[in-house]
Amino acid sequence: MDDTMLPAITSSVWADLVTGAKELKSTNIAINLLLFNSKLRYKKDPSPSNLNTLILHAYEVFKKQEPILDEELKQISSLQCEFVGKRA
Amino acid sequence: MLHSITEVRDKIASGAHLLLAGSEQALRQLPKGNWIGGTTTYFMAQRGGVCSDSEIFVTEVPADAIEVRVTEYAAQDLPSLCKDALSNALTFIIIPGGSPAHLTYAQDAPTYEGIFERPVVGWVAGVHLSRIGKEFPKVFSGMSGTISAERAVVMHVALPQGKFAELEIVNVFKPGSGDCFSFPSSGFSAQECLIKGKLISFARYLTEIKHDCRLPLTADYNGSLINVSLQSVDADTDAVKFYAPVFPGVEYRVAQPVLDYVTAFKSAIYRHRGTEVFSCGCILNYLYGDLEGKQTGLIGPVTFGEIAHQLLNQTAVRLVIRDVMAKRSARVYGNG
Repeated sequence: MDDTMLPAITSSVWADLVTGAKELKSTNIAINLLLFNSKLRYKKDPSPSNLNTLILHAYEVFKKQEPILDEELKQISSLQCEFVGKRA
Repeated sequence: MLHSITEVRDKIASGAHLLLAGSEQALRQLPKGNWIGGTTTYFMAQRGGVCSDSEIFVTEVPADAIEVRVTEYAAQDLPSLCKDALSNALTFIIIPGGSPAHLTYAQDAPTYEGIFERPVVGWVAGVHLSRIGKEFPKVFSGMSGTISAERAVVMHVALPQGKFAELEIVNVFKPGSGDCFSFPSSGFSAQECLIKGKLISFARYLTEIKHDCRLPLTADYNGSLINVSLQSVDADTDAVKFYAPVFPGVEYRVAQPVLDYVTAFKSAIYRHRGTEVFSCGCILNYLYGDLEGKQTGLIGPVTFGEIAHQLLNQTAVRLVIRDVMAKRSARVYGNG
């Protein structure tokens, strides 16, 4: 049974997070280092293929760390709601 | 905890999986077994900061670990470090200070595939400060009996379902209110930095602001404060050397002074709840904070660099294991 609370990898929230378009506050060192390094790597190479790679990496990290990311998942959920709200 | 060589021999004989930190002379007296180790003669023990050639700091890998695998990595093999990790795992790594593996890991670890997926924690082995340049830091694989001043030694540990490892950084430093600056390229040294869009001599800048070189540079990594310690500043040759690399695109500030290291550490550690399975600290904090004989709340080897995914300076790193089974069940069944 897949009980993940993560948004689908196709969700635009992942691109927002790895490019720094949206901010996620975390006390988790892995998440903070991941997001910071992703932003740096995106700045250096903003190509779609690099963005895809960064999203894949970020998704994998969140998937592995999910059991201890309650606060972060709540924030991601509200970031998604913001996006849906704006579109509506 | 700190133990005598005889006590450590008994622990090895019991078959426990161990991480050991001690002098080369002490570690060489141990038999083969389920352990990895790295040299240092400095420790934060229950009785306070200790410098000892004859005692060994022992960290026991959680007894409920379901699989443990020891591997050694030459510098060029380190990018595959996380590909070799086990499922629901954490990775302990010890790297000899000043080795090719140390330099490579410091520079490239943030780009290794999977480096942030599972905890990678450990330390950079060192030597007694009076013997720098005369002795070389070394790592030991108790499994194979190998001793190396070149390669990293790694213990991949798989945890049972419901247990989850998490890393924490204890940092007593805060960014100062001075200039924000960046560096045009990465490396363990820099000649120039960028301040307000202008490229200037970093050594001269530090001299002009009368910077106390015991205070590190700090950078805000999405809310986690990462330090880079200063090794030397030479205004004549315009060269500033660091204990960890600086990276382009990262904004740094020099840290605020810490007036009382002991109080600062105690208060920082107090904020980190939960019992740690492993922790280690930095020789620079031990030295600058004059921590010998003083209790800070930190227990573990004092090292030439801490590793929490990537190389850190002037912090302490803690590994805690959380029980996530209850939380996960609550989430699945909608009870929490």
